[in-house]
Amino acid sequence: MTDTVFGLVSSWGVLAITLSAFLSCLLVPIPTSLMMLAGGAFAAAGDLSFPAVAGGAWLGAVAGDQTGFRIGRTAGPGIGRFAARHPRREALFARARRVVDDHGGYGVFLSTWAVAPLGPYVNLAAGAAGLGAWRFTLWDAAGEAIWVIGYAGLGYLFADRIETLGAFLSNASGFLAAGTVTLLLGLLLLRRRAVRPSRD
Amino acid sequence: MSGRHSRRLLALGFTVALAVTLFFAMQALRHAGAIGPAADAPIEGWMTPRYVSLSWDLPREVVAEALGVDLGGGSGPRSLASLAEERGVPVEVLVDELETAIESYRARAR
Repeated sequence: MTDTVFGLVSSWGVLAITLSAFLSCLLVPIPTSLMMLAGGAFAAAGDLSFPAVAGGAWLGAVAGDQTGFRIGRTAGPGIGRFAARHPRREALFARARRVVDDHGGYGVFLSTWAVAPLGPYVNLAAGAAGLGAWRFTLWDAAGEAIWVIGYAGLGYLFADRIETLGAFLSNASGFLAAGTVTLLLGLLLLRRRAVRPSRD
Repeated sequence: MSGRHSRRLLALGFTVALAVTLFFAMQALRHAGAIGPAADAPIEGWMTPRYVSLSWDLPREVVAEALGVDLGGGSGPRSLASLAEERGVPVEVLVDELETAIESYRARAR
């Protein structure tokens, strides 16, 4: 699989990286991080230009995130109406909106690089819960810059070992994302236990 | 949804997420051990001539001459697989040619 991904970059160059970054922000399962590693490595070898690799990946990612955010925004009112039919659901949705309002900016920021596999969901949720478009765009653009420069930079620096490095990084990134989900679910469980100790 | 039911669902989700986290942790540790110096990794079809010269630490001319390609400035990436396709030969032929050229270059350099 890794070979195919690297082959796409050596055949199509920056275009492959841009398209892949765009699509992976919309939940299409493409290993864009591997593509950026390869882009960085080919830049080190003199096949591609590093600014073009980083710029292309960044543009693709930001455009993909914007698309996800807009889809969320369009769906938002419908979800609100659905939630309003039931008082408990309505309260839950109102709370989600408050959380996004309080923490949405850096939540979006972290979801673009630190827990990148969660990014597409966060874009949709941020749009649906009504995060401001400018606030979303600024945090998102800053976070994607870290993601892109991080991966392409590692590929550039460790060009001769991108295959093994890529295998490690994709598992490490899966660990961080799954760990974050585990932590959040664990906190929810603890909170429920604290709120209703006598039930069950 | 009753409180008890949703809590069970939450506990199940937590358990699954924890298992996935542990799986990735083990995989990451396993792969971390393999990152070491990758000097002379096998030549593969996705590599470009310039990439081979970088990762095998060779002058570009050695690779250019072995493959009969121009590696001067300006030309974009070209994978060995697509070079082989253009010539109508399997990629292994190019890999063999490169390996022979690398061997004789290193013998001369010694």
